[in-house]
Amino acid sequence: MCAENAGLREVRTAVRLGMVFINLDEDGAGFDAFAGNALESLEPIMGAAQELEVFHIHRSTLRANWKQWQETQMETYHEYLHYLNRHVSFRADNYFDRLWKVYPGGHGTLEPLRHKYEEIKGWDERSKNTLPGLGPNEARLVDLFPDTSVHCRATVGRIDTTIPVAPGVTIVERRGLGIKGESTQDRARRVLHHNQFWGPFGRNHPEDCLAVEWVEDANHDGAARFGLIARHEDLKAQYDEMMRAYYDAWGSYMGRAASDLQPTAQAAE
Amino acid sequence: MASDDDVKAVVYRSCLAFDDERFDDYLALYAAEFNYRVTAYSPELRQDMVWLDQDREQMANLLEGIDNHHRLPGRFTRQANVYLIERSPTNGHATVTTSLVVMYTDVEGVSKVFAVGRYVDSIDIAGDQPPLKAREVRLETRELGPGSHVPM
Repeated sequence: MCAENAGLREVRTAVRLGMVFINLDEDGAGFDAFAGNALESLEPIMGAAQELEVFHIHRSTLRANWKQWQETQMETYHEYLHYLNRHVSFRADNYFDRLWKVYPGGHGTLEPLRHKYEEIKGWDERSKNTLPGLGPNEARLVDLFPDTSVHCRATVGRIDTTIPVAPGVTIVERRGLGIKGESTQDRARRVLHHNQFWGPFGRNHPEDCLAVEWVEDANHDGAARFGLIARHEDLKAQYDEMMRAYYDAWGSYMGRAASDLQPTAQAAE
Repeated sequence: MASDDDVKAVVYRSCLAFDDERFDDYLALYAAEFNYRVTAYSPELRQDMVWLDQDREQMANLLEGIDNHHRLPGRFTRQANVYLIERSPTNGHATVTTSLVVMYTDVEGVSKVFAVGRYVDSIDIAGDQPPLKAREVRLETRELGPGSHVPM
């Protein structure tokens, strides 16, 4: 035994757009090689002089594999289950035509969209106090392989990460983002917008969680043995290229294709 | 002026109305203008978080739209115990602190604790039918699984 091997190990870190990324693998690629330009659409928002801060954090323990949750961040056809999305998103001008941009390594982003919040009874446009770099009602999404997603809905942002606990147990960790140092009134409006969709009493968050658990149930009880990733729509919003890129990256780390049905394959992977 | 029993009754009726999802009856327990909030303290952020903040119109819209959503198929049961009624001698209202445990029973009949916390209510006690003017649901529980479309 020597002192170099017995002491605390230095953990590799990188700070990008105010987020701290940690890699416990000393032999892994550096962060810039890993992420490439995948965060570029967030730079005007999270890299602006106006700093953001976290005002909300909550965790949801789900009966599901962690990848099942991440799939909800990458395929948009699950949005049919959301009442809000059917009204706020689907009625937006370019909802189905906006394109995915897929980056090497299983990362991706969707072209921005301008939602129609006024389609919900009692809701208003999100045209005031938008996050830096975002226009009225504008939404952006970035998926960073394997388990991180950043969503922005005009006035408010959210970062999702997951903690895989067991093959069928995942903790989803959610952080809400607002502008640091803003007035109490502006913050309250931003928190309201956050909670409408994403809080534990929001309209979308419970639906996302339940859908993930129900899909997991269907996978396990044999009702739906396979996830079918087969849509081809020229990179349009409901095209499956993001899912394919994600599972290609997963397969390269695991040394086998996601479609490999060997009996030894374990969901825990 | 409302008695302590009148004050307790409005708290307990609010639980029964929500348990049974009689949302019109629930709203009828509130004053014309009210504020309803769900809060929790975040040790990570070292500050309170607001998880829901609604006035009458917002709450009415939220409750009216609940059946538009895919939601937990079981049933919530609120166990409330009024601990403290603090009457203001000057302005005709009381601050009421109620211990709250919310159980969730799934479709198989399995019950589990969903949330623990307190109601901190501001109640107008000038008349015999005391309306809720404000309710803060102060949650200790911050892990709510999939969450809930129905407020606590």
